[in-house]
Amino acid sequence: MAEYILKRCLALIIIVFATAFIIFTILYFTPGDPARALLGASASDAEVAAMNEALGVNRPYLVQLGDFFYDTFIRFDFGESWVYGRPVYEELAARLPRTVLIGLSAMVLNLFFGLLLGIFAGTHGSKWQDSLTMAIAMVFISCPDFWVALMMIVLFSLKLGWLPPYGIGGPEYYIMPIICASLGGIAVNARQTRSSILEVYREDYITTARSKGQRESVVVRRHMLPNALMPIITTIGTGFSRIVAGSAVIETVFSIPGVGTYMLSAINGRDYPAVRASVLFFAVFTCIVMLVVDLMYAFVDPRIKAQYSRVRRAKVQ
Amino acid sequence: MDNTFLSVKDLEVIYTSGKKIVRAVNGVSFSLQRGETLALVGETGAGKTSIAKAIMRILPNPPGKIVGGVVELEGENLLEKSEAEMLEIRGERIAMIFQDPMTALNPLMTVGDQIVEGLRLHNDLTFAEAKKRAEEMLEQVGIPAVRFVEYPFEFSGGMRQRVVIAMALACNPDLLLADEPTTALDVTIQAQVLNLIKSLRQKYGTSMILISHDLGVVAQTCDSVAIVYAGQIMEYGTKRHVFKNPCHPYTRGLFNSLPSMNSDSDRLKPIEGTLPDPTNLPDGCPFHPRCPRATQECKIGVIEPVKVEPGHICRCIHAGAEKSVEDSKRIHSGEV
Amino acid sequence: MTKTIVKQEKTQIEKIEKSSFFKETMQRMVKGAGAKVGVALLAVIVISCLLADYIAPFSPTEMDFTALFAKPNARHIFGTDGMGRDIFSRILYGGRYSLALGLSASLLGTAVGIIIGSIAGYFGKKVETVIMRVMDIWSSIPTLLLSILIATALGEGFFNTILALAVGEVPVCVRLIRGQILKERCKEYLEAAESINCPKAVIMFQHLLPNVISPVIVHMTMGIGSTITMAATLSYIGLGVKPPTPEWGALLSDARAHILNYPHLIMFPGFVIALTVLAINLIGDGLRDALDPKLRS
Repeated sequence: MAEYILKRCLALIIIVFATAFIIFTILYFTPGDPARALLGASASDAEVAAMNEALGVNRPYLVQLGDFFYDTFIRFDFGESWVYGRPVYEELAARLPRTVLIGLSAMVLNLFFGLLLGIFAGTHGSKWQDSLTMAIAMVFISCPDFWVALMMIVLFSLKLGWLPPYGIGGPEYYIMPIICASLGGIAVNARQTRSSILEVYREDYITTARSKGQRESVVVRRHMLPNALMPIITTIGTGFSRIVAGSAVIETVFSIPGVGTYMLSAINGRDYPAVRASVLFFAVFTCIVMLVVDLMYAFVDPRIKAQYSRVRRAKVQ
Repeated sequence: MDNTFLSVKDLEVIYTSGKKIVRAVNGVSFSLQRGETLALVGETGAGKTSIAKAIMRILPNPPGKIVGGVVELEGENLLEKSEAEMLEIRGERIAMIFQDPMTALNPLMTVGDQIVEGLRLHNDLTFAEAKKRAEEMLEQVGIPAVRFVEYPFEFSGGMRQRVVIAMALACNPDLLLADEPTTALDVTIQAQVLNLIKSLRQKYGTSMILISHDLGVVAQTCDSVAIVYAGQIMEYGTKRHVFKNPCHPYTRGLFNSLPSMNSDSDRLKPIEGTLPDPTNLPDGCPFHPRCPRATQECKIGVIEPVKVEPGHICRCIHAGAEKSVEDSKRIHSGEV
Repeated sequence: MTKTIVKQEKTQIEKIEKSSFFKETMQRMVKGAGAKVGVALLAVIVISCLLADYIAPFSPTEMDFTALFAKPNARHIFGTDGMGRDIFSRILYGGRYSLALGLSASLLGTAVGIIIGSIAGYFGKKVETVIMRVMDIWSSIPTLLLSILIATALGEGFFNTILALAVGEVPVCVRLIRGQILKERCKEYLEAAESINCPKAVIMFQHLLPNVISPVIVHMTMGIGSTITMAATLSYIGLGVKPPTPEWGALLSDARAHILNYPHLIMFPGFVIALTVLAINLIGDGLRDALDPKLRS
């Protein structure tokens, strides 16, 4: 098992490096003059040239890339924001807890309600409960997250006055963002869970379990659900990636100073060190969650576990 | 007839798919003595598995439904029992072996746990006791007890079928329903598994309904034979009756499509055509579109079973008419 | 002589099979209630957007200074924005951009995905490993973020937005195709084709692709919906198509400053997006059921 974990961690590191490379390269080849964007149209050409010199963006691609990797991965220094002059690291550290809080809570909601609704619909196969749940799920899949967020502000803040429309403060400020970030995912998850259950429902081993004289409720709990939920685990990672990206936009809608808003404002301001660091953060965040999910899967699926413990068994024999 | 252990009368099963109704089983009747083995023989899709599942009442519902008939196990009608009563009967008195060992086991449970599950349902056993019994069962089917903790994917097809057999026989059932237990296996493994079933059955005195399309397997294991076609029993009798003196044109067709070792002809005689569409069964004898002897009378009404000789029933108007010499030649070879 | 006859017969048979397959799929799809609603909804939306010139009561740029920020009323059924432009008309004209964006980005992404995926799936071994690792990296950046990055790099504009959206679609599609091919690859009919010396390209496109294409068609259909949403999201955060163009996301972006006072500016465009995506998803669902070989009798 240790071998498997090691292998996955190695893959994670490679992916993080490659992602950093891609982000850097895309931004490097982005047309437009960062200095011009920073100084505004009124600045003289000489000022712009001096600024570019100071930012170091005139140096060759490979030199800049090398610098970026050295700073990021060896010195853990993300540079200074071109716009505000503050170290990006500080800014990220201050914003990170909010984004992580929204992302992880949304994932928990997403899993809990997604599975619950999916199991409910799947075990009521082709009755009205199933159709209704699936119809609602379909509606939520179709609505853009940020629009739902806006509509929730209109309803719960403006009309009902229950929740603050934006900003940060107490826990009540996070209720709407977390719900909005998880809604679409819940719907996707519920649909996947349902179809997985319906698929397992037809399997022979379910009939076998019934033929033993097992009660239907136990057949569902012991034989149907574990097998149906197994493939769902692999989709958690994708779902999380969706939540993370969505939460960047959700943060903007609710004006929450998280990594997402930081990234988007940095993109608009051509503040490349900030963009690089925040996109990299999102990628690493997603990768780590995916890694955890993969390890979880290996832990519950005997087929993968056996693959890596076979060596041990061979030695024993 | 007092010795009758299981009797099935006029069993009818339908499947609904959308608005279509598939008549899978249409008035099947047979009976079984204690310790006896009956073979249900027929092509794929003839309704054999539906009969077995209907006896256990584990038809997937929807779409499957038992719409008529009586299934009596020692005089009690199973179709009138409550679900709770059926839970006691399934696994305890009737057990089933499934066709495909690759899919019949839960991939996420160790084989041991799966055997223990059934054992503990019907016996008042602690886990340790059940485990001991399960390990004995594994040894009996020729699997080392240490493999108790292994998962199905760590077994080969033949080994999995042994696990399924161990699981089915663990509670010492009175009746075993074996649904093509060897179809998915290699020929060499087939013989092993059949012998295993045979010896365990003799040891425990279990009755069996063997579902098969393999006449060789049937000849080797069974006491009586029912030939099933389009959800009806076409011919029913002891193995000797059916193999020595097949009366129904369909039965003869089955024998004729077997290759034989001691016949000179170099071509097999397959039965022309295919099974009729079960959503739209032809009027009269369901076999008439493919039957070489079909006459106008075969195409209308209900064909009633005819008693050819004591204990040998055939659902054909022309039953009892002489057989050609060629036919009887082939029949002898079919018995091998 | 006989050869040509055989050939003719063959093409005839193919024609019959092809047309009946398409027809059958459509018939099966429309059987479901959801798909029926989806087709009807989408038809209404698409046709009204195409006929915007005749249906729209106003031009999308026409400003009515007597009715700034008008609430929905008889004259402006969805109300007007801060410059007095009719929201309903803007939605109709904007639909052309949004629908075209969704369709072309999804098509482009899927097409590239199919090509890369079939190469990976068919050649296997090293080619496959390399491609799949690249896809792992490609998809380690969440789709929306990748599209945001690409949109930043390419700058705003219709075609750049299509590219940015398509890039995110590719890895998902590659995975899907490759997974399907893995499933099909070990089947005998491919060996049969290889045993009669069928060229690789023919095996790939004539034998393999038709057997793996069904889930891809479903995925692409659903993809149109999700790209429309994504396009709207991009425009909303100020990338992608820019405001004077009445693209649906741009309408929302335009109105974001006024959400507290004039929620109807946000409500209607978003509602139309949701409705369109819903229609497309319903169709995708129907297609999935129709193409499922397990359900086909």
